[in-house]
Formats: sequence, C-alpha cells, structure tokens
Amino acid sequence: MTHVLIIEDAPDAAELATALLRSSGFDTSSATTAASAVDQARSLRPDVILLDLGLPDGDGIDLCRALRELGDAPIIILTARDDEVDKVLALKLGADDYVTKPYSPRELLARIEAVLRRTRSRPPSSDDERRIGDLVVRPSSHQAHIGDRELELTRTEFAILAALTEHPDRVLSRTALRERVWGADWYAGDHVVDVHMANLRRKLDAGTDGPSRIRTVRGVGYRMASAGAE
Amino acid sequence: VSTHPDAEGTPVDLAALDELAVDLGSVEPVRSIVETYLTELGRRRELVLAAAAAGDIDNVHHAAHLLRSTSRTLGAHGVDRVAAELEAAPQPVDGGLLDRFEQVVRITVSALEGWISEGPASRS
Repeated sequence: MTHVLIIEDAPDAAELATALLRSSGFDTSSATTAASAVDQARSLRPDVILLDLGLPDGDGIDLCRALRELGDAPIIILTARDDEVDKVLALKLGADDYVTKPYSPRELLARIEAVLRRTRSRPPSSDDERRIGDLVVRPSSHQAHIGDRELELTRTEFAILAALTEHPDRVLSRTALRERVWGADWYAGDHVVDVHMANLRRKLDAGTDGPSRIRTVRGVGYRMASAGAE
Repeated sequence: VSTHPDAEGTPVDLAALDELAVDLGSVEPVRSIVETYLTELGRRRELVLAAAAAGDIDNVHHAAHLLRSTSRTLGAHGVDRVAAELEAAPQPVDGGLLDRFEQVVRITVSALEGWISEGPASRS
C-alpha cells in the first residue's frame, strides 16, 4: 500500500488530508512538527510526502531541503501562501509539486497520483556508463561525477541529466524533456523545468567560467555538449 | 445558510459537506473533521480577538491565515472571506471587521453543529 506522510500542524487540515487519503486506499502517517517529520521520514520511508510550509518549529523550506536529503520520496508542498517565491524556492530545494490551500480533495488526489505515476513510469535505468568528457553518468546507480567530484543531484535533476546524456549533442525539446522526466500528464508551467534546469547547470558548471555543458538551443530545446565545458 | 453547491456568496454552504462525504465515501469522517474544525475555529477566534486587543497585528494575521486553511473546503465561505480581510487588515484592526468576524463565526458554528446533529439526510 502506498504510504503518504502528512506533515501538517493544523489538526483540522491534517484530519481532512488523512481521511481523504485513507478513503482513497492510501496508508498515512502524520507529523505536526519539523522534528517529528524528519524522524518519521527516516523511519517510515514514505512513498509520498505532503508538506505544509507553515510549521511551528521550523521553516518549511528548510524542512523540505532536509527531507530531500533523506530520500527520494516525491514531496508535494501544501501551502496557503499565495507567495510565488515560496513555491519556486520549494521546487528549487527538491519539491516535486505544490498545492495551494484550500485545495479540492480531487485536486490533491490527482496531484499525488501524478507524482506517483511520474516516479513509477520512468524508464528502467540502463547499466551503461555514459562518459562525456570528464562527466560520467551511471543511471543504474544514480551517480554522476565530474572528474573525482561526485555531483549531488536530486532525483529530478538526475533524470534531466540522464535524458540529456543518452544522446549527447542531440537536441531534446522542452516537451520531450518534460515527458521524459515528469511524464506526459505533467501540467505545471515551463518555470518548473527552468528551475530544475538552472539547479542542474549550477551543479554541473560549478568552478568553470565557460559556457554551460547544457546548451540552450533557442526556440528548440536543450542539448548536452559532447565535449563537456568547451 | 445555503445548501446550494455554488453558493459561495453565503456564509455557510452545507452542500460542500455533502460533496466531501461523497469524496470520502461516508459521512462519518466528515462529521469528525467538522468537529475538529469547530474546536479549531473556537481556538482561532480567541487568538484573533486576543491578538487584536493586544495590538499584535502579526498574530491577528497568523490566526486569520490558519482559519482559511480548511474553511472553504468545509463550505465555511463567510469565515474564509472575513479571515481574508483580517489577514490583510492594518493595525489597529477595525472594530466593525471584528464584529463581522464574531457574527460569521456564530452563524458558522450554529450551521455546522446543526449539520452534525441532523446530518445531510434531513435536508434531502
């Protein structure tokens, strides 16, 4: 059974989410503080995490970062805040989606099912090691190195890198990239792709002054430069 | 009090609870959620009034913000609307706004307690 960890301090909101998910066949657990959320994420290994940004004992953004470092479970941000900055920041720190409260029960379920589909429908990893200059990508072990430096990538960043390195120098359109990484049912805007792409580039290109290894082909999409950071 | 599904202009739309019961497969979890909501509504009402009396506008905004989380899902549109005004209210909070807040909380509590005791079947 799919296990959802609900991190929410408001009792009525937590009970609503719990009832909704259980009635739809999910197993749930809940945490009302950042500290207990980290403990439960570590011990229960949930399949999906719902995270309310406004917890009493810590900043939700910091918690999102900590949860991402603990594992690969998709994180959906629940926020009553209309503040775009919070949503973008959460996505930058590894959240997979967000839902603005008050949400409709059906929307929340649809979002959870969508992140699960995206997670589970990704093509099986190839054991082939890909070498592009000093960049080495190993999809089977979810590892990427530049020289001796291991890149610490989120699941989404790694999926983007894996898609781009499958055929170096071949342009991948934004649509094709979205479908490869998030699935065809993704319905967020281009800014989500932009945020993850910017994070990946920052990690790939750290310490170099030249053009990015990931080239933007204006009006078409992206391609991985075969000679690395030229 | 309205039972019309599109009645967002009314203080309480009890049809939202019926729809939620359909989503959850039963009316029982909705009763439990409404009971929890009523407890929280009372607690947050006290927080708003105490913070307003103390001139603590940040806590007025925070408590009002919490009120909005589930109010609309439970059809408490009046609470949601007044809480939105409180969330943006300048210091000092207008007395008329606080009066409207108290009034809409009373109406909401009465309507939801009625729904709990009578249930959706009695209105059909």
